[in-house]
Amino acid sequence: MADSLRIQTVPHPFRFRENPDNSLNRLIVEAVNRMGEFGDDAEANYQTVLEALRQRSDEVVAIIAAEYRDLSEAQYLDRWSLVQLLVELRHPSSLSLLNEVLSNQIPEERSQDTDSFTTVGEEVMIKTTAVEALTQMSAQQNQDALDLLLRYTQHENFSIKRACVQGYLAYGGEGATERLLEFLPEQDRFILDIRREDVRNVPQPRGENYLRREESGDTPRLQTRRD
Amino acid sequence: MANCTFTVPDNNASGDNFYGQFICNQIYVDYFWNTYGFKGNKKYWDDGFGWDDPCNTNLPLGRTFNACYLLTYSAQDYTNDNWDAPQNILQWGRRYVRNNIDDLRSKCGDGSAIARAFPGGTVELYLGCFYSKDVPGRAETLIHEARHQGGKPHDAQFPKGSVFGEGKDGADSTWDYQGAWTFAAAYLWWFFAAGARTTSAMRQRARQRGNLVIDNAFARHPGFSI
Repeated sequence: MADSLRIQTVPHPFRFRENPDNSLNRLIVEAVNRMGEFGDDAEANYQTVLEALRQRSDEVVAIIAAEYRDLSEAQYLDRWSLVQLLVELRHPSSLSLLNEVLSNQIPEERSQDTDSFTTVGEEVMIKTTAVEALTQMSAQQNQDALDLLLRYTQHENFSIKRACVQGYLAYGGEGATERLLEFLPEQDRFILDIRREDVRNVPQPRGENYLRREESGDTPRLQTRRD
Repeated sequence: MANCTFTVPDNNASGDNFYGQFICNQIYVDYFWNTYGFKGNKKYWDDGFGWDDPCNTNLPLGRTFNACYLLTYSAQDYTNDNWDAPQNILQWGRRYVRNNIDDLRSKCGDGSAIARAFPGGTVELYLGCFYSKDVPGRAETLIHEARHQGGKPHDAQFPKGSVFGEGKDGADSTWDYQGAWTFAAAYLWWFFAAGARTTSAMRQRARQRGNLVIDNAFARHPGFSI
């Protein structure tokens, strides 16, 4: 039986209630929108907007913090996109928000079919992206970011723990492994053996097995510019 | 029959705006409709789902076309979809989906699942797939469901602490089992490592989702991460 759908659209997910006329609001919306750009110039266009935001990183981080807190729990992709902006900005003033994102309790699972869609999984992706922001700042010798990585190696969620351990191992300098061995409970020390790997070095999926049928056809030429 | 409503933001990180400007071409509309399992399923894409407005990426059909476009054109050399190494799932993933999904249908769903595979090559997509997933995530869903249609079910329970539901059926035993989770994670991993004509942000998103799958969807952790 076929269903029926009606949608309503809004211009973007944010409200900018604290300062609706700030010119940075438009740039933040554009940066978030261009995260999903496709085409030969996609990355260059995205970086151009980021560069404009980096000129006023302090102010931008403050707006991101306000908007992040204003979004509803269910706006997982929108909350993720703001944390991803913090990854790109790598600005010390974002440490407070990153700490807040990581320390917030993960709400209970909202989905009833978790192997299809898991809200806890969405929350974890937001938090592991916050860990990536800390990792990038640790790469720039930010000791506070490195300390937060170490602290959240004790997070209750496995993926967050694993991401923190890998970030700390990468930029914790001499003795990082020994400090983690002291810090981690015995049952978590196996995480030290989980390696970040190049996809070319892992066993590859084999597509030619388990096929309902085998057919190939011509593919239309790629178009990356609007006619 | 169900009636559903949804509020869609025009400008967010899903990627729909940008993929959307390319799918609006009759060559692609025909190609996707005829090869990705839409053909013969008009009634499931009608009545608000986009059949009469395929360029509108606020609607499910346009959003699914966006995923088809990503599947088709994200490898640098998109003309080569051979199975043999050194080709990888970023290149032949689109062929695998086309060969395994006969009927691709959209429905409101009950708010729990985002997609389901049924015996005989039918895959249903629900509102969460169109509006909770970004474009690479929708492509991942098609890859995952195509693997089930190819005849590879899950064979294990999710591990302790898994976000997919500790102890529930639906996991793959190992990476080498070559199940739907391996296919999904590997597609995201290749998109992160070698996805063409996209942004570093979308690749980072694919990395985070791929790691979530690797950490939580295998009864025995593969021992590596992205």
